[in-house]
Order: sequence, then structure tokens, then C-alpha cells
Amino acid sequence: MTLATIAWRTVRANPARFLGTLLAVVVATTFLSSALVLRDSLANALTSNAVAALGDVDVAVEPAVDPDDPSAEFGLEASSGLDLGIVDEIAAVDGISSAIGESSSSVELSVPDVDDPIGGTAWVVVDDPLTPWDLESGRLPTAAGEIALDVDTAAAVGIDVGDATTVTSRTGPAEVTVVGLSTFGQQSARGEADVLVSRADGQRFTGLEDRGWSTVLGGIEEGADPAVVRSAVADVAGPEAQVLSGDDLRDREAGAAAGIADALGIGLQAFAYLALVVGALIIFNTFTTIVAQRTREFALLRALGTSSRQVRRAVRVEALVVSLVASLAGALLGVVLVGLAILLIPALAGLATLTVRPLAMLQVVLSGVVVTVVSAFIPAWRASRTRPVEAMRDADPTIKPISLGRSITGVALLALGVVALVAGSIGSIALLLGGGATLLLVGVIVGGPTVVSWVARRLRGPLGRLSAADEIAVAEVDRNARRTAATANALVIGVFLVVFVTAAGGAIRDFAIGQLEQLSGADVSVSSGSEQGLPPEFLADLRAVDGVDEVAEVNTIVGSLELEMGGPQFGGGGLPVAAADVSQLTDVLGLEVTQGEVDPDGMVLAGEIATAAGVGIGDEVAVVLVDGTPLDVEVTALSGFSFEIPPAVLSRTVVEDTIGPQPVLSASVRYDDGANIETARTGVEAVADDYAGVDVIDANQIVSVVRTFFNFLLSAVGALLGVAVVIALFGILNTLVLAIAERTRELGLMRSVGMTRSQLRRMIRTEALLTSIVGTVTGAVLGVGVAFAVARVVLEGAFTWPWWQLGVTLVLGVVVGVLASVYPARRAARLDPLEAIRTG
Amino acid sequence: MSQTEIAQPDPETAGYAARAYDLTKVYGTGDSAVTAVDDVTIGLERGVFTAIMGPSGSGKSTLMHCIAGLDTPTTGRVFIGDVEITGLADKALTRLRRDRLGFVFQAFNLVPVLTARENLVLPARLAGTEPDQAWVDELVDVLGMGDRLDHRPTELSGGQQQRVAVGRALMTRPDLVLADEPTGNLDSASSESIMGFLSDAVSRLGQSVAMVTHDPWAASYASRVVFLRDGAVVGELADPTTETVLDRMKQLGAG
Repeated sequence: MTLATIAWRTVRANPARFLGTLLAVVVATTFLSSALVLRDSLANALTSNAVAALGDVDVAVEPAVDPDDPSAEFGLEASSGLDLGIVDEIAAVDGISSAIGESSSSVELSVPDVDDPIGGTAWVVVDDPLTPWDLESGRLPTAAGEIALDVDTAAAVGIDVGDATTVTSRTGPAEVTVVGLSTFGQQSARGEADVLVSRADGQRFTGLEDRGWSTVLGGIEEGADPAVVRSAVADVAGPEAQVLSGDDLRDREAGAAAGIADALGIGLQAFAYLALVVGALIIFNTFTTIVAQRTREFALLRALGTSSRQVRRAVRVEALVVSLVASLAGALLGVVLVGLAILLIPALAGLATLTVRPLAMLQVVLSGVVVTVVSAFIPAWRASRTRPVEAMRDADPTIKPISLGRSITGVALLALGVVALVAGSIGSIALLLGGGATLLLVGVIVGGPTVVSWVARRLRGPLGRLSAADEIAVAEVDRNARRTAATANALVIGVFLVVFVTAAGGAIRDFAIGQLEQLSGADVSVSSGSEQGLPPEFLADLRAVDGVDEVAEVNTIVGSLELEMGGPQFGGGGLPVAAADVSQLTDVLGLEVTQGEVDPDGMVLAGEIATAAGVGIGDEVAVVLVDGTPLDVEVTALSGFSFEIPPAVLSRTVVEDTIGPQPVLSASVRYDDGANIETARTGVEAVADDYAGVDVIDANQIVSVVRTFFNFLLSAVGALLGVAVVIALFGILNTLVLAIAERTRELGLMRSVGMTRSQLRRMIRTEALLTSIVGTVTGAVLGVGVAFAVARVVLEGAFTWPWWQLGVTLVLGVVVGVLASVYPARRAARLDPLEAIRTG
Repeated sequence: MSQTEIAQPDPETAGYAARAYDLTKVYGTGDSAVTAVDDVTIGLERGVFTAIMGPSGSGKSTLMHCIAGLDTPTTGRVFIGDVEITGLADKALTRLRRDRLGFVFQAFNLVPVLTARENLVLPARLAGTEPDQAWVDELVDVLGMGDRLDHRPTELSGGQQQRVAVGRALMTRPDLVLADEPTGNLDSASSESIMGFLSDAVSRLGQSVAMVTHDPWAASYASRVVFLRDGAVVGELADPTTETVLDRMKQLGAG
């Protein structure tokens, strides 16, 4: 009988023993497999579409990239495009069947009854086979005010051929009619809206007349020599342009599409490998325990003449068998998951075609196998060191105490980590922060057993007063401190990352929002769409709205100010000057006067501008008012910076005394403290509705965008890291199953002397809870600690304690513990008390 | 005394710590079925040290496990005091073991993570009651373990471990102490101390003890020996000595 046979039978005979390892490897490899399959599925769909959509293109002309142009370095489009006339010139080249120009720009699509505008790209199209779009229904736009829309966006917002909608571009909103629905290649959607417009709308939506064509695509007649035609095209295009073959263009577009998929794949893979590392801890734990339990079996093998090398091989072969089964299952599960996702999620259906590359599957299986076999290395070595004489001993595998050296090293590492973290935080030294975090994590692994043992001994008294079952549980945790710590470590890593990302990400979010809120003091702003400005009656009505505290009127721009400043200049025409009542600005917008006194005859200038221009209090500056009247004013006060008002403010009386009444173009509103924001806002909108051309703008819109973005990011990362926590759960389950197998006699004994099944279950549950709580608390403390230290440096101390998330994490720890104990506790309760005597 | 005289439980049940009627235990089914205990009726008197003897495979351990409620008989009834335990649910049975029975096994008697003293009071702790401190002190005194009581089992000798086990069995003042080869793993000096300890519990404290053994010397400490062979009671001996037990074993082995 070969070693492989022995290994295979061992695994088959004790599936429960390998349960944790199997589950851990299956979950981690499933994750890896779905990451790779998703990447390949996206890349396949995207690249084949790029190729299909550009299938008829034989030659492409683009502006030459100037290697000295800094924008080229950032991969930005060349700022100047191709001359408008070049399309006809290329079309006239001998051998060219037809040519079209491409021009595009970002737009927003606003649909009635749909709250948020939809982001998209406007493309100028002409009816030509070269156009990458195909029509599903209707026709291509041929006149101004007509668009074709991709079918998916149309379906999502519920509009069809013949409907009207609004497209907002750099030139403002425009009413358009949908005349057709398009597809791109075989693909219906590209993740954003495709707004196809006619040549006549090119300037309005893409700035075509100003910027020229970004690319010209051409087809070559059959029978013509492509190389000859391309060189003729190059002659026409001149040195400012470069000419590509159709294949080059398709390769490049396919590469770009694959790049998008790759970037996503790399991110997912990073998490998948993290899951594998957590799994490795569990595998190591499993094999260490199994090897200890099988001392006598190994000793017998040794006594019968098996070499220590053969024993080592036997353990490794077991690891190989387990990991092979689990990795194959994981690879398959990943494919099934992605397949289901593509089937069930419509958005994904348009973007991905299920693609299973053998190489990706090989990567999954290899990763699973390598991680498992490497994790079993030390246990295998320990097994091989079993001495034959141990076969004769009737002793239970004794547990060696934690060595003093390990305890000291562990505690020293932890202490050093804390010191490095604190020093790095105070001294703002990133290297110390990183080093400190690493030291802490290594310290947890080395010093974990010492800490677990210490905690267990402290808990023994209090828990012992609760019940004997709890006391025995805590004593077992202490006895197996090493194993408990290793089990908990899987959880520590997962929880640490979740908490760190949540706390640090949350801190960055709150910091950003705080900064934004400081900059915008008002709650809501109203602006006038007409040159007459906001009517005085409207302003009076606005002040009367329930919940409105104060309204600041700003005559947005009443003139300009020329200042000589070092550094970058503001675009020509000088600084905008506004007219307002400064006390209103202070009250509503929180504009701060940092220096000097507000004087009705003087100017309030933003401090940063004054510094840059070398202007101080008491200096006289020259303003040119809107009607050309010059006005010299003294700078009497310097202010902080605000987004909402121009950097130079004159009092309204001075301006109006000089050039007569000026329209109030905008007003900022501040609500009463404690006012219901929704009610107040509804009131403001109701008043605005009564007056034509008055728009209400949320001052905090950008804040809500930032908040939404960060929250999405945090929950996405949290969900991905949650996989690590799930694997850790299997780790606890696994350790308990092993521990129960190891303690069969002990459990039987306790049952015979009167431990009830529910007491036994409680004992197992307490062990699981202690393990999961130790892991969760350690992970949470590390996560918050490191996040706090990092926040101190990066965000200058702005740190929101994530109490809420910490609470959830702790509850999670308890839930994980209870869940992990259900199956082992049931197994233990089913044990026959007679076991204690039978094996005796 | 006649070798065929077999003890029948007295109709007056108060005198028995445990009784079994028509007890049969069959392991397995069909061709592989093995009758470990074959229609045994036996009573264990209160305040008496009873030894159950027999060769390996005679069913003596199975009989004891059935009486202890650790194993379920195939047919027949078992009483502890006047409580019938056959048919009891696991929870009630566990409580009964905890409160009314004491156990001494051949080996692995103690929970490794608890000290000797903690092991001693474990049944009371499991019951959630305060152990009777005076009784604990008295037992500790009799055990003669002194400062060794705060050590873990792994730090105690085999004899010391067994003494703690006997102490634990006596701790709840059970109706019956069941001992399964309590000296099986011990040297002769330790064996002597354990056996002295068990017979003292009977003679001084009026404790009822039933012990399974195959050692004639250990059986000689009992006041009554019941012999088993092939699952059936085949003889009985009162006030045995090592020699009389050996003689009877020879007779039974020959017959």
C-alpha cells in the first residue's frame, strides 16, 4: 500500500477532521476563481466588442502625439484635433471607400421623472458602415435636436423613439428628441449612456467646430493595396497626424478594454489572496492538531520501519489530497457563481460573456494547493520527528507550555509596535506607522498564546462563578492557548482590516465633509436666471418662509479688480468683485473677517489673494465697475476664503451710489438653528416656484456626493473583507471539532459524573465565544489604533471614533462564536458517555 | 455456602441501593449479535461492598454500565433506590448519575484542566450547589493528599489520581459508588490504599459500593462477590478471601 493510499484513506475516514481546512480552502479558492472568471468574462466581452464595433475600419487617423506635450504623459487626449475638412480630403483619397470623423464629449441626460441625471458621452455620428453603432430601432440623428440613445439606457429610464428629453453639455441644457435606439457591437450597454448626435449638433454637444475631429476612420476599397492607401492618407493628413491600420486600432481598443477588466481583476485578486492567507492559518492549525493527535499512529509507523522522511511525505500527501479536492470545488464554484451573476444581473449581462480560461483555473487550483501544502510544512516536520517509542506510551498528547522566550518576544514586539505607532503618529513619520502596524500584527501572532492564556486566567474566576461549564471552557482555552490564539488570529486579520478600512475611510470621509461644510456656510442658495436678478418681492417672501433665519443678497459681479500677483494668474479680466452687505455674509455664509474692520466705504478682500498680490490693509486698489466706471477703494478688511462669494466684496451702498441700483443675482439662505431642513427647503422651493427663472441649489450637494461615494467604497471593501471573517468562522468550527475529537474521553467522563447535554453544549459554546471575542476585540483594537494613528498624521487629528461600527463588530464576534459552535456542540452532545471508559 | 445460591432481590426494596430484574443486553443484530448480559437479576444491598467478578468478556462491565445508566439494556428493568432508571430521558438520567451515583474508573478519572480539589467538587458544581464544606474537609483529611490537592491531575501519581476519584465518588454521599477496575493501573502499594479507602467508606460511613474486578485480591476486600460467566450470574461468595475467590474461580473455570 502506497503512502498516497494511506493518505487518501485517512482523509476519507475522517472527513470531519478536515472539514475546516476543506471549507477554508473552498471559500478562498471560490473567491479567487470568481475574481479571475469575472475578469476574463469582462475582458472577453469588452475586447470582442471593440473588435466587432470597429470591424469595418481599415485605416484610422489621429492627431500625432507630441512627446514633449505634458498632457500626453497623462494619457490625455491631444488638445487640438484634426481639421474639420480632413474627412472629405481622406474620403477623396484613391482607394478609400468612405471616411467618417469622431468627436465626443461628456454630457448628462436628464429625464423627466428620473431624479438624478445620467452620465454619458455624446458622439457625433453619420450614416456610414464605419460607424461603430448599429440601430436597434428608429434611425440615426440627422438634424439638430435629434439624438439616438443606447437601448439599455433607454430601457432603464423608460424612454423610447419619439420621446423628448434634455441633454446637458458644456453649453448648457438642450431639449432633444430621441429618434433611434442603438447598440455597440454585440453589446447593448457600456456602463454609461451613449448619446449619438448629428453633425449639426456637433458644436453644441462636443465642441466639434472648436476642437476638430479626435479621430477619422476610413474604409479601403476591395482590391486596393492597404499599405499604398495608408501612405496616401498619411500624405493628406500631414505631419500633424498619425495613421494607424484597422488592426492596430482594434488591438489598441481591445487592449484598453482588457486593461479595465484587468484593473478590476487585480483588486479582486488581492482580496482573494488575503482570504487564502487567512485560510493558511486555519490549515496550519488543523494539521498541527491532527499531527499531535496521531502521535501514536506515526510512532507505530516509525516502529514498523517507516523512515521519518516517509512520515513527512505522508502528511504532505494528505494536505495535497485535501487541497486538491477543495481547490477543484472552489474553482468550479467560482465559475458557477459568475455564471449565475451574469444570468441574474441585467447590468452585467450586457458587459460580460462567461469565459473560463484553463490557465485561470490552473492558477486557482495551484494557489489553493500551494497554500495548503506550505501551511502543512511545519506540522509534517513535527510528525516526522515522532519517536517510535511513543507508540508504547499510553499518554495523551501532552501540551507543551508556552516557552518563556516566546512570551517575552511576543510581548516585546507588541510593546515596540505600540511605541513605534505612537512615535510615528506624533512625529508624523509614515515609516514608523507602517513599521508599528507590522510589529503589532507579528506581535499578535507570536505573543497571542501568552495573551490568550493571561486573559483566560483572569476570566476563570468570574466565569467560574457563573457555571462549572464556563469554568471548564475557560480552562480549556488556557490549556490550548496556542491553538486558541492561532484560531483567533484568522479572525484578528479579518476584523483588523475591516475596522481599519472603516475607521480610516470614515475619518477621511468626515474630514472631507467637514472641510466642505466649512467652505459653504449656507444651507441653500437661490440664483436668478435672468439679468433682472431676484425680484425684491421674492426676497421678502423668502425671508418669510418658516425656518429661514437669514438671507444674504449678493449682486454677484459688479466689477473687476486687476492685481499683480506672483504665481499662476486667474484667467484674464481681473478678479470678480461682488457687492453685498458684509454683515449678512458673515451671518449666513460664515465669512470670517480675519484682519481689519468692515467699513461701508472699503473693500473686503480674501486674505490669500491679498497675500499673493502683496496688498495690505489701508492700500488703495482700482476697481472697474460693470459699466466701465473706475472706482478706487481702500482695502479695510481681509477675510477667509469662501466658495460662494467672489474674493473681493464691496458694500452695496458704495456701488449703487456710483452706478445706480444693481440686480441681486443670487441669495444664500441660512435656516434657523434646529429648523426642520426638509420643511424649510420645501418652503423655499414653493416660493421659488412662484417666480420665473429662480433656481434653488443645495449648498450641500457636493457634500452628499462625497458622502455617497465614500459610503459606497467603504461598504464594498467591507463586503469583500467579510469573506475573511467567514473563513475565520470555519476556522473556529474546525478547531472545536478537532478539540472534541481530542477530548472524547474527557467529555465522556464529565457526562458520566453528571454533566448534562445542555451544560456540555454551553461549555463548547463558551470556548467558541472566548475564541471569537478574543479575535474580534484584538482585531478591532488594532484596527482602530492604527487607523487613529494614521488619521492623526494624514488628517491632522480629525478622527471620528467609529463607535457604531465597533459595536457591530463586537456583536459580529459574538454571532460568529455562537454560529461556529452550533455544529461542534451538537456533535459533542451526541457523544456516548461510555467512551470515557471504553477507550480507557 | 452453596455455590448455586443466587441472591434474589428482596420484595422489601428499602434494603437495596440498586436492583436489576431480568436484565439482558445484546450488542449488534442478526448473525453478529452478541449477548453480553443474559437475563440477570441482581440486588446490591445498602451499606454492602459487592464485588462483581468474571473473566474477560463475562459481561461484568456491561452489567455495571447498565446499572449505572451509562448503557441502555435491551430488556429488563433497573432501579436505583426506588427510582426506575430504564426508560428515563437523558437529562433525568444525567441528574441521577450526578446526584445519586459515584463513579471510579480504571483510568482517566479526572478532568485534566481542573485541580484535584476542583475535580473533587465537580458533581456539586455541575449541580449548581455549594458543596458541604465540612464534608469536603473531612474527605480531604481522609484522602491524606494535603497540599497536592491544588495540583493538576498530570502532576499527581496514578494512586493519588485514583484517591481523588474515590473522593469525588463519595462527595455527593451517593446511593451507590460504582468502581470499574479501580486498581487496574496501579502498583500494589497504591492499590492497597485505594481498596482500604473503599472498604473504609463502607464500614465506617455505611456507603454502598459495587466494584467490577478480575483481581481476586481486590475482590477479597468486598463482603460479597458475585461471579459472572458468559453474561449470566453463576455463583456468589460471602466474606471472601483471596484464596476462596481463587478457588471459586478455578471451580467455575473448570466447570
